[in-house]
Amino acid sequence: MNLTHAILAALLYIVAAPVLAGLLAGVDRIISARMQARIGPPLLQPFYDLFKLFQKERIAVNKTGHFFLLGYLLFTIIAGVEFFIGGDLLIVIFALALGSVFFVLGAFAAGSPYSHIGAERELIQLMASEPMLILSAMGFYVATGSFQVHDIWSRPDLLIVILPGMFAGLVYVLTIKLRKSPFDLATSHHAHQEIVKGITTEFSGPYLAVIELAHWYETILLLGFLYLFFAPWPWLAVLALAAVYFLEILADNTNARLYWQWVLRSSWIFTAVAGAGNLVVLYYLSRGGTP
Amino acid sequence: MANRTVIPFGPQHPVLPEPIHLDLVIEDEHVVEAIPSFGFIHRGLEKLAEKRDFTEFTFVAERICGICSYIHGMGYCQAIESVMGLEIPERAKWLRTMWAELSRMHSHMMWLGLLGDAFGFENLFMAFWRVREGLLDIIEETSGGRVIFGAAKVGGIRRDVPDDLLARIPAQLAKIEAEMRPITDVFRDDFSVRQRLCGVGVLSQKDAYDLGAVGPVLRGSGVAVDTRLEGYAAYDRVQVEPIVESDGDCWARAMVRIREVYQSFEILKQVLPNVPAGPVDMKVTGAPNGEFFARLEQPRGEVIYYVKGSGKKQLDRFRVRTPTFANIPPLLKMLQGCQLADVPVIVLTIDPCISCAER
Amino acid sequence: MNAPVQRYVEVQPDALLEAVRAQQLTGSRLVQICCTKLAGFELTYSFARAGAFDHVRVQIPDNTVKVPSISPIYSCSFAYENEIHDLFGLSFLGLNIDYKGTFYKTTIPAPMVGTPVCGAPAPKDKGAHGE
Repeated sequence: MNLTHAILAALLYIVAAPVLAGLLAGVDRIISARMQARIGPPLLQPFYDLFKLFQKERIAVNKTGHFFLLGYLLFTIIAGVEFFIGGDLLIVIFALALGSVFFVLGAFAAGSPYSHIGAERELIQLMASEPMLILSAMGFYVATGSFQVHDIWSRPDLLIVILPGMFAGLVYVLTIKLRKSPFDLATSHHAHQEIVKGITTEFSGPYLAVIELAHWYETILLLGFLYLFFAPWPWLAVLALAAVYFLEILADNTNARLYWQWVLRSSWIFTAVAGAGNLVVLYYLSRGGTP
Repeated sequence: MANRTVIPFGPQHPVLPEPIHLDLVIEDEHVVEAIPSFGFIHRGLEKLAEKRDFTEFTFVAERICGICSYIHGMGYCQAIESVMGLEIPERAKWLRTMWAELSRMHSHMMWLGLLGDAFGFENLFMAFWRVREGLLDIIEETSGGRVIFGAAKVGGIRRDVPDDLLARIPAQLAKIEAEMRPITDVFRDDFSVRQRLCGVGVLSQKDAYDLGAVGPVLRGSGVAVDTRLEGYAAYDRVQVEPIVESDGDCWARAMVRIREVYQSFEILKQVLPNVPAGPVDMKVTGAPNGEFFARLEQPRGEVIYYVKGSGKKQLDRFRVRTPTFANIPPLLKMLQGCQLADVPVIVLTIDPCISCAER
Repeated sequence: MNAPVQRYVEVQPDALLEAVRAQQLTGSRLVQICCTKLAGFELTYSFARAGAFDHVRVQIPDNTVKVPSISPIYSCSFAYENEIHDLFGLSFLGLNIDYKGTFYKTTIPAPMVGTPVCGAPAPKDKGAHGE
């Protein structure tokens, strides 16, 4: 991939990702509403919400928090750009984690106990989801011999065939990342939770919009991750992603919120069984193939 | 040793339906102690009784609570009628029973929805509230109001219900019951719901009784006390069995309420065909002279009305002890040692109605 | 109607605890405590068990007289007794949980304003705290 292409891809991601993710959020809200026998908001409602948040008054509990939030947005975008220009998968994963850590620090900067507990839970969720992300990078490496996203997506064979466990593990972790029930511990999509809005409690107006925006960039990046499994067959990939997203909405609407202990335990077990299991099988196969 | 944090919980908290304030002393996410405080919506309703005509006060009594409104009005009237020695017409007794059961059902269904919301199951919330609309429609058809429907009055009821309407209700109820089955099955069987409710906020049978718990909290802990058995209104002629669960946890309390909704369907099946013909009210002359403690079963538990009059139009003293007030000491017991995530669920399982409790 | 006949037992303030303990021994639960302001104060303690609904009644001449708390016998009585203290001005002796007049009022007039919670920086305006 040459430089022009890279710059174009980066720009495309920066501009198109929020639009796509916003539309996806709109579809999400409509489907959720239909599952609850409601009509739901218009498709463009997430954008209306975002623009309204940007217009609101800036009230700060602690200004340091806002600086950290910009870090969250910046590193999430960096992770996304690195991914979509075909860069190094490990850099993508660690930049993403760094962004989340900035978010947590932002919440810790405010004095509210709700925000603190939300931040602690977010850290726990990171602990629950990161192992699977890193394992999947290893999976891609073992399967393709490269950490470069570019090399992975230009492979002619379907990776889902040899990495089904990795895919399942990532889908599981996606539920945590998308903040869907049963894993919406740190903050949920509405405030009827014991810690109000948890990690986002002390942010308001434009800063809340920044969080939403960063979350949208993150969503597209994670869906991009899943796309890699189907890269040679784009139509199959779109279908698979739609099915995965629908499953997430379904899980959100058929589950209560669970405890953090349960989330941590279940995601580690799932990671160990699906992710590590897949890796072991893959090693065994590659040894057998090329002794 | 984890350091202790005090979390101010309420009075304005999205998960709390009503303003109660709890200072939660927590260690990590463990609640060590919960200290409640009240007084955010004290309205002085008991004092108001000394300024209002005793018949007029029925309307105030109905507004003690927004959800169990009808039984408050009915209980007040019952207390006054006992003081004055009035024997109200049979038809009024049966219709009072019907409305009392309808309000119990809509209150329980509202609560089940709220509980779903408290543990993050929005779909359950929507489902229960949607089905509940059907009950409110029946209440509206029969009384003209939906939640605070002002049907009670001293000496009977305020308006008669036509017989053809009464004959239509069973079919409507059967439809609602059919809609409800699949939703309550989720409560019973769903894995994540059981994770959040089973073994949470356990109140032993002894504690429940000693701490003065009432209603579903008491019955959820295995004590068979139901004031309806005392046979006020027409309850002496319908079959009522106290619904008892033995576990004493949040799940048991939810199950008691679910089973009570189905029990109410059964009670209504006995009530509706048997409403006798005749007048629905009687002339009330004079003023109450004497005192009486009336006991009724609210959706939230046993409620006490005390009236004391001395032959004047205004009462000397009116007191109501609402079920929420009696359930506060058991609530504090349940909250000790729970997880922070359980606090809203446990608080909800006493079905708190703080505006009732403070009056 | 199969509601039990309500019995009233009139006792002197110093015999209150004895009467309440007698109720506890029969296995009754505390239903409510009601205070009525007449010339003095009339306290009615109601107890219920299967087939019985009894009231123990005590007259308190004025609010300088301290009423023995029944919380050593029925620990849940603290809610009623604190409420009566706040609304009628009666004081109780030996309460297990004594809110000291803050059951209905908050302890400080405007709580949660500028109180450092969980290590938050204290408000800069030192003057407001009256040091």
